[in-house]
Formats: sequence, C-alpha cells, structure tokens
Amino acid sequence: MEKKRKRINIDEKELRKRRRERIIMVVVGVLAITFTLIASHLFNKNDLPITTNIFVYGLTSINVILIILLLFLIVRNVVKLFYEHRRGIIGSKLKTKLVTAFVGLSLVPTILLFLFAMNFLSYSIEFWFNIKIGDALNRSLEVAQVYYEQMAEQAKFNARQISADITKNRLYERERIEYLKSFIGQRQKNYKLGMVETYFDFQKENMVFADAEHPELVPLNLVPKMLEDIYSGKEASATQPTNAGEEIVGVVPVFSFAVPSEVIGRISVSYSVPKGFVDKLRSIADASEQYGQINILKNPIKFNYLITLSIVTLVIIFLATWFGLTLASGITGPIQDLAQATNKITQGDLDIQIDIEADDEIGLLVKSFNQMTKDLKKSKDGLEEANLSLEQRRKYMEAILRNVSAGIISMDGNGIITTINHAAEKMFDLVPENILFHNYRDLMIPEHLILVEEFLQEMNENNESILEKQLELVFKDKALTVLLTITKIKDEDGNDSGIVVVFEDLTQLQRAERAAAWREVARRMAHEIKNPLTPVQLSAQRLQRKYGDKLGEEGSVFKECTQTIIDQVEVLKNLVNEFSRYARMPVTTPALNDLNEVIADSVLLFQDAHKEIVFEFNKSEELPKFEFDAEQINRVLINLLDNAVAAINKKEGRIEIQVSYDEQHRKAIVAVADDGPGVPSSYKRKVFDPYFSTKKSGTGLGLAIVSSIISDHHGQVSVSDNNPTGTVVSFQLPVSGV
Amino acid sequence: MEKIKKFFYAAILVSLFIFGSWPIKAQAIEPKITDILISNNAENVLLYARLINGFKPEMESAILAGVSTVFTLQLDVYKVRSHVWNKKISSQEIKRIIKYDNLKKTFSIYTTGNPEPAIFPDFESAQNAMADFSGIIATSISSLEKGKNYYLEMKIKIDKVRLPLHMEYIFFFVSFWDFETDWYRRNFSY
Repeated sequence: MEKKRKRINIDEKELRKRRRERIIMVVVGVLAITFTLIASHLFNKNDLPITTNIFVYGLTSINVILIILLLFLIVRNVVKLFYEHRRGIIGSKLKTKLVTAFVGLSLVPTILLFLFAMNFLSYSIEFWFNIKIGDALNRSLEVAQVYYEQMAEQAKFNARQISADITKNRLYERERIEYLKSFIGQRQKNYKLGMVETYFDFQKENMVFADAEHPELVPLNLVPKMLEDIYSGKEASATQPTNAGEEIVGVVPVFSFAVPSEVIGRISVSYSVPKGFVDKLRSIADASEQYGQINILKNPIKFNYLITLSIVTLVIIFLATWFGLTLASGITGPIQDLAQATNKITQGDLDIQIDIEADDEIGLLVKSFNQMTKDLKKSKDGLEEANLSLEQRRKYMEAILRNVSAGIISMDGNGIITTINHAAEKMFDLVPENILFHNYRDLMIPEHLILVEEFLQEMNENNESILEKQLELVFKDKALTVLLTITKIKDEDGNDSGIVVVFEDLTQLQRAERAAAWREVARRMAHEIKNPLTPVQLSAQRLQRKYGDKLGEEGSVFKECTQTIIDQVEVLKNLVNEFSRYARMPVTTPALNDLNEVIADSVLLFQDAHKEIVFEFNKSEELPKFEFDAEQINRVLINLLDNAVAAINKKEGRIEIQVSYDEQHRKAIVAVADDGPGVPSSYKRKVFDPYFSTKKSGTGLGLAIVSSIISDHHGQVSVSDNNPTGTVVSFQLPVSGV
Repeated sequence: MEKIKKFFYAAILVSLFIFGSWPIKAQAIEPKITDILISNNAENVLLYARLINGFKPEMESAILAGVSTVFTLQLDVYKVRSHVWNKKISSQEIKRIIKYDNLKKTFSIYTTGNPEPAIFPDFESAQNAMADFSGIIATSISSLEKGKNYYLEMKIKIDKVRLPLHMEYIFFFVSFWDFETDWYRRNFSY
C-alpha cells in the first residue's frame, strides 16, 4: 500500500508571507545597490542636463525610500520576533538568542569602529582646516593680491608722473609732440616702464610706445565705466591677459595746464606679468578659493561623513540582524516543524513527514524523525491489526458465550463478577447491570452463599480445579435442576485469578427422562398388573355367584368381601388403564389451528359445569393460527382447568386464562391462574412427575400428561405462585407453520 | 499586534512625509520678479525686469568663496488666439553666471551671447547687475501682427550651484542653492 505522504501544514499562510517578505527584501536590496551605482556613475559627469538631474533626484529619492523600506522590513521582523518571544512561540527563544548574539557581536565592534572613525574624521577634518593652513593660504593670496595692487599702483604712479610732466610742460600741444615722444621714450628707458599709451582728446589716434622687451603688451580696451572715472579725474587700473601672461595697466587722466581740473586726455602704463608667475599666482588663488569653498562645507562634510558612517553602521547592524534572523530561522524552522510534528504525532497523526532538505545535523535529525514516524506508523498499524484480530476473537467468544445454552458467570480473584452470559441471565432472571462488577457475596441469599462457600471449600480441600455438582434449586418461584461446574482460573504463573461457573439447566431434560421412566413403569404396570386383574375380578365374581347364596348368613360377609375385591380390582383396572393411556400417549399430529378457539371451547365446558367459579378468559388478538395438535392441547387445558377447579376449595373462586403472543420469540403463552391455596415451594419441582398429587382422589398423572404433551410440542411448562394466592401454571408453544 | 502594525505603517508614512516636505521649508524667502515693463524699439520688443530676493546669505558666502552661480531667465512670447490654443512665437533662455576672482577681487558676469564678461569691483554692483534684466529682447517686431494680442511669460531660476566634490548632490535634501520664481505673465498688444 502506497503510504500517503503529508507535508506539514504549519500555518501555510505565514510561510507564504515570510517567503514573500524575503523576496521583497532581496529585490529591494538589489534595487538599492543598482540605483546607487547608476546614480554614482551619473554624478561623475560634469555637465548634466536638467532631465538627468531629475533622473538623479528620482533615483536618489527611490534609493532612500528603498533603504527605508529595507530597514522597515528588518525592524518589522525584529518586532515580530519580540512579540513571538513574548507569546512563547516555539523556537522564538532560540531565535531571539541567536539574533541577540549576532547583533551584540556586530554591535560592539561596529559602534567602536564608528566612534573611532568619527573621531578620526573629525580630527582629520579639523586638522586639514586648521587655522595655520587657512592663514597661510590667505596670506599667500594676500601677497598675490598685494602684488597685483602694487603693480597697478606702480603703473598708476608712473602714469601719474608722466601725466604731471606732460601737464607741466604742456607736452600735449601739437607742436611739442616730438618732445613728448622723446620724453616718454626716455622715461620708458629710465624707469623700465612697459608699454605706455597716450590719448589726447584733440588727437584722433592713440600714441603707443611699445616696450621692446615685452612686445606682447597690447593697448587696453577701456570699458565705459573706467572712461567715465578717468574723465571725472579718477585713476583706474585693470588687468588683461596677454600671450605671455597678463598685463597690469594703470590709467590716469591728463589735466590741462591752463585749467588744471580739466581732463584733456589719459596716460596708461602697462606692466607685463610673465605667464609662469601668473600661473603661480593663479594656483595660489585657486588653492585659496578651493580651501575657502571646502571650509564653508566643513560642517556639511562632517555631517555627510557622519551620515555615511551611520548608514554603514546601521547597514552592518541590520545585516547582522538579518543574518541572525535568517540563520535562526534556518535552525528554528526545522525545530519548530519538529515540535509541531511531534504534537501531531501525540494527537495520533502518524502520516506526518517533515519535508526539509538539509545536509547538516538538522537534516540528519529530520531524516531520523521521519524514519521514526514511519516505524511508529508501522508498529501502530501492526498493533491495530493485532487489536482488530483480538477484537474479532473477543466478539466471537462473546457470541459463543451469548449463544451457548449453558449459563456462564465468571468472577475475579476477589469474587467480583466480571462476565455473565445471556443464558445465565435468562436462567436466573438477572439484569446484568445489577450483577456485573459486584461481589457475588453481596448478591446471593445466605442459603445459596453457604452452598457456594461449601463447594469452594471442598475444592480447596481436595485441591481440585474443577467441581461438578447437580443441584436442585428453587429460584424466584422456579424449580431448577442445574448441573453446576466450577472451574478455577489460573494465570501463567499458576496463581488463582478467579473462577468460572457454568450452569447447565437440566430441568427439562430431567423432566423428559422422568417422563420416559414413568411411561416405562406405566407400560410394565399395565402389562404386568392389568393381565392378572381380569382373572382376579372374574374369579371374585364367580365366587360370589356360586357361593354367595349358599353361605347363608355368612354369605353376606362373603359377598361384601368379594364385592370389595371386584370393586378394588375395578379401581385397580381403572388406575392401570390410566397408566396405560399415559404410557401409550398418541403421537402428536399437528395441524393449523386457532389456539384461542381451542381454549375457549375448553373454558366454556368448565363454565357450564362450575357456575360458582368465575372463569375469565383473555384471548390474544395478535396470535395467528399455527400448527399444533388441538385434541392434545384440549386435553392439556382440561387437565389444567381440572386442577385449578380442584385447587379452589371454597365454592366461589376465580380462574383466569390468559393467552398472549410473544411476537419477537414467536411463542404462544397460555397461563392458567387460580386463587386457591397454591403449591408449596418444595412441591413445585415434583408437580410434573407422574403419580404426584396433592388431591386425595387424583392419580397424579394430570400434570405429567400436560408436561408430556407440551414437551411433544417442543414447548415448556412451568408452575409459579399467583398473587396474592394461588398457582399459575403456564405453558409456551412455539408458533410455527403460520 | 494589528495595532502595532498600523502604528508602524503610520510612522513610516509620517517620516516620509516629513522628509519630503523638508526642502519646501528651506525656501522660506521666495524670490520675485518686479518692475516688469514691456517696451519696444524699432526692431524688437524689449523686456525690463528686476529680480529681488535672488541672493541669500548662504549663497553670498558661497559666491565669495569662488562658487559660480547661474541665473537663467526663461522667456516665452505667445500670441493670443480665441478659438484654438495660444501660439508660442518665441522662446529663449538667457543665462547669467557670476564668478568671483579672489586674486583680483573682481566679480565677472558672463551673459549668454556675450563672450566678454562684465567685471565689477564690488559685490553689490555685481548683484545689481545680476538681478537687472533690462533691455532683454523678447522677440522681434517682425514676428508680430498688428492689432493682435500677445503675452509674455517669464521666470527666473537659479541653477544648482556646482560645489566641490559634487556636494550639491549629497545635500540635495537641504539644498538652498536651487530655486525658481513663479511664472510671470504680462499682456501686450501690437
């Protein structure tokens, strides 16, 4: 037979939920990592279009949400574990311990590392941004700025000098132009000025005095604001890039000699700053600028590192928690399954099998458990089969006990009645509920108890295990002849463990045997006695006839004596005839008859003869016609009614004839009850014996004939007391041939 | 158990909501466009406008630290049509970038279409120049039809400031660098 393998149904819903959660966690984790990678890849690009920016924002936002979701799922699991622990769910304690151990083990080094890293970072950042470095950078920048300023001041100074000389000597006049050129050239040479540029309002063009050493210097394009400043009498300076670096230009106004406040032109002096130097200054400025930028972001950077480290710490802690949860689930899951499976086994479900594949000790345990369950199942099946077989045998034995005609009562060592069969119940008219599991000593009347104790004593004295006795008992107005067999029950060790008493009802058998014996006696009597009676009677009659008249006065005595002989022989002949009839009972010839009618006929006959007695006849309407010998049953009724009438001494009396039908057992029951003095208990056993009569004139054959006829009809006859006085003689006839 | 579950979901939602609403709180002082005037010369329709509250103290210190800041003027001109949707006649974007030169202590402002920067020796004049959108060509007269109604829509946004080490991405939740004004609309007829 294929064994049905059943998967444990440990809250299928919960399992599905857990599986789904795990999948979500993995997907969320993978998505978070993917989005982070994409986002970080995009961050590295410098010029991002706005759409990409939105995309990056989107990704980052999703990332944050995913991380929050991940944290939420883990926190949820931890909270769930906490509540499982509180509710005392199987495996939650071990799970809690494992998770606590993992979290504890990871928490201590992680927090230490976190604190150390934070301190280290703070210290490093503070160190990088310390005042000395900042100051040094600022000082360097200031030096660079001062250089530019001084160069501009110098350019402006020289321009101012030239402007003053031009005004003083009125070199701006047209006729002195050559002298101006010579003056500027001289100045350029003496003061190592760079390029000098002059512009006078009356002139159409600038005069540019190029520097031979710095040919890269070009004239400055003045912005309107600068021009405005200059023509309002202010000085200006500017810087502009050149091919070889930068040029610093100082521009000053040229005033009129006649009207000193009137600006009539401008002078610019340019100095060249070499490219290498410009680059150096620029790098100082850039460094200072970057330092300044980073300096304003110092706290955000620290915060950023704090957040990053916190996230890493949290991730480690959560990963440890998750790992702990997963590991704990891996261990406690099978344990939980085992516990639940054990519960199911205790509830009797041996079909259970745990479906866990594992190569470790848990797997071995699960395999062993499954094997054990199978073995248990096999044993249970074997036991069940054995039990079934035992049960069948028990039922068979009970059926035998129930159907056996002998009454059986068993008792344990203490005298407690443990078994009583149907025959015994019927025989002694017992109700099992009142008998079973009671001590026989409490149930029996003293007279019977003494008898039983005697038997048991006899058995003990004779050291016998079986005792057979034939007893004649009067039990509840019934006379019984039983063959009693007492058997001691011994266990395997030979100890007494009770007795079995078997009662065999010999009443009917004995009655039949007695009837047969009496018939034999009657037959012999008829044969042996009747034959000599006729010659005796005839001889007496002859003696009377021949010598009766001859003897005279003495003849009267003779006549009396012979007449007595004749009469007594006649009585004897009648008696022998009765016995002869009893011995030669006709063979029963059953035919389909109505019992009610047969009885009614008999009753009617007696009613007419005995007007002073009330005959109450209750016939049975349910009783069908059945096969019986109407003539013989009529004889039975006549005998019974005759006995009943004879039992009523007084003139008035009452005789009840009750016919009933036991449909279940298919039996017709006829009871004839009188209200006479009744039959003493000691006579009840003998009333059906021939030649037993309580009547003075009775032959004692009436009830013997009744018993004989009823026996021939396979029925039973019994006698019991009427209430309040009198006797009930009843007989049962099997209803057959309907 | 069910109550705790609900509490957790609610807590997550509330925290997400707070997180989401954080940047909105940072923009307490809103930039505005004022003094909007639409005029024209012989060839073009000109826009005159001024941005106020465009510079916040944090931005000022960032600009002085050498961080360049970009103002973008988005300018669209529509022709009003009664039965169908309005037709966009022109759309343009004008970017202005301010950059501080710490070596020369000058502020350079670069404007779209002009390769030469305007140089300002002080921050105030540079800020004024950045906020001053005067004489901006909205569209050409030739693209307009006489007797028709038009309107101009504009907004100014400040682009995300480029921080060193791409910090602007890290602090995006608490960013005060990027903002934009509402759309401003002015009707005009030709």
